[in-house]
Amino acid sequence: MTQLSIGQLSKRFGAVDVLRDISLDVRPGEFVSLLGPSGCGKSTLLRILSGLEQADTGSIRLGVRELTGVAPSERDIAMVFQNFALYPQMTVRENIALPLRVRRLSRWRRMLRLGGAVAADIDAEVAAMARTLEIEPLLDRKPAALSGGQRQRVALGRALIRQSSLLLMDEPLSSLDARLRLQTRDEISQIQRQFGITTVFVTHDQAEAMAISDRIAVMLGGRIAQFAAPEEIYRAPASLAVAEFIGTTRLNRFETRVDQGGFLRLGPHALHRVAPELAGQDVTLAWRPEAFRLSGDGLPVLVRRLESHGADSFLHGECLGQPLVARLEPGPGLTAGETVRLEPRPEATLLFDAAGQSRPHAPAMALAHV
Amino acid sequence: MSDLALAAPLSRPLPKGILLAGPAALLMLLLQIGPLVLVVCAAFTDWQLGGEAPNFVGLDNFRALIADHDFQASVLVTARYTLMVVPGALLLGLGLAMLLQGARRGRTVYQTIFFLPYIATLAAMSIAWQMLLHPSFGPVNQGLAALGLPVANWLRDENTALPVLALIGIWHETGFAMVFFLAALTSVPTELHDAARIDGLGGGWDRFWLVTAPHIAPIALFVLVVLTAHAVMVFDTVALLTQGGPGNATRVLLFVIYQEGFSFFRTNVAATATVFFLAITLTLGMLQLRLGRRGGAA
Repeated sequence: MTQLSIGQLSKRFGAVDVLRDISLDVRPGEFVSLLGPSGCGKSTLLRILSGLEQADTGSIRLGVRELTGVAPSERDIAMVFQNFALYPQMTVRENIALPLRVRRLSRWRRMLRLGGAVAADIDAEVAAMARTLEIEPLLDRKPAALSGGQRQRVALGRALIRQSSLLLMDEPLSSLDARLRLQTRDEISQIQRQFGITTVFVTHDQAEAMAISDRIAVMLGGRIAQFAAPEEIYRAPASLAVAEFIGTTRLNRFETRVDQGGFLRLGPHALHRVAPELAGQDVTLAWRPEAFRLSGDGLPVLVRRLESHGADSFLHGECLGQPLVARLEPGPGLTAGETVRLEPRPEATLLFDAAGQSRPHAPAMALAHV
Repeated sequence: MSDLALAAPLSRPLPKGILLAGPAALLMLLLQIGPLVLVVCAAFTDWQLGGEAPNFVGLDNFRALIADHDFQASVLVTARYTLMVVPGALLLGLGLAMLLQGARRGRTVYQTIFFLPYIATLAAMSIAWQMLLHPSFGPVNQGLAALGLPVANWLRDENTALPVLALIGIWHETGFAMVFFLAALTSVPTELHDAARIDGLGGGWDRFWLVTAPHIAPIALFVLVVLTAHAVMVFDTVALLTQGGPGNATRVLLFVIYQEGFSFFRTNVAATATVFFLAITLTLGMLQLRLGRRGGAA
């Protein structure tokens, strides 16, 4: 198990800053996802880690070794590609064996198929890998004769056979159909733990990242906006941008101002006291839909539409002239057109300053009417 | 009555179909199949243009043709020409395509320039080549002389005439091969090249054999067959530049047919050679069809 340290990495393509001052420490054996919308630089970062692309500045250390300037094949890394990148003319066995053959046999011995004892060793290793991945019956097939999930396993096998220190995965689930994606996601997670290999996984699918990662690096606009455990990124997003990117439904946002007494106000309602240095400043309050509960003395919300999802229901309404979405447990029947009172749970209240950075705020204080 | 009324709509589409397909079928019969049948028939007779009524002679023409040393020589000349042009155009076309594939700018411009010889009429271009290769005032010889190198009468020398024609053939066909290879190269997934680099095959040569070659093999085979068909059918440059000479050095198959039919008026011999020629091109055509189908399926 090897540690990966990325220090102040930057990359420009022409006039575009693709990566800006990226620093990241991945612990030995850790599974880290790079999560972000397309164009955020996550794939470029992965390609720079692999050596297929060069950074303009910055350093990459794998264990004690500096990787900058080292060729991809010399980096002690393995990579799984989006479309698996299996060599179509080779059987599964040959695909998995290739990285070993290239390293252990000279070109002439490879071409003349003279391997001797070395080749026998390689065969044994491929067989062991196939057993681990449960693809033994497929060894003599060509990639074209495999299903998407099987190709994925072969690609994993080819990546893991070298026992590299770092495994890079570039959206490896995106070319699978939805059902297979869930299953393969679990398999990848399990195999990664089994091999204990430090892994960097690129995805634009937050559910995927949440489910599979030890930690997630959220990338926005070429920067790492937050690097934390999945649960923390959801519960305590570092910025408004992260909060809006994470989560399946729209974030409820209210622009407001902290009064001179340090009280957070929303229309006529004073919510609670916040850090004194925010007094008099513009801030953004945000709640996820599940932050609300029906309460006698909450914010007045005009119900526009109700949406039942079985286990819970979504209320689409209007609060202080702004649209609001709340996820509620199915309870007493609400009807469109009526006004209800919804109270946000204080610990689920997100507060951001004018620059969009998260600000801590004082815990529970009852909603007061002034 | 009712039976007839039922039957009528069923039978009607047939005459209408014949009516619609008829003209095209008739033209095809008249212009394509007719002449072919006529030629094949003529090959079994002693008919000569302007001569007496033809007699059926069986396989005599074929026996005579196969035994004819001039004809044997022309088959050999055609084969030699093909063996020079096909590998030359194939490899040059592939090389150019790979260079252009890697080019960041000006790709379209170069693509057009290299494709120009193929779309330019070879007959017209032959005039340019004749001037270039003229023994006394052609730039080729003048250039060679200026460099102190030996000059030659390129199209009148038995040793150089066929290679020079092959060179013109390569010049003509390279663009054609290049366009197909460019299309094939664009379809090679870059992901495979990336995977090969990580798997330890960083060098261009290794990656060509691991990634590029298997991908373009079906197209290469297709191009090979088409180029062979083109080369076997060479005529323009021979007719315009060498007239099959010097001696019989550039007397290719198609030129033999032309001479027998239109200079010596030995229609039966020309027809027999044509049948022989047709067999070659038909084989190549069928090969091309089959390869095309396989390439499409892959």
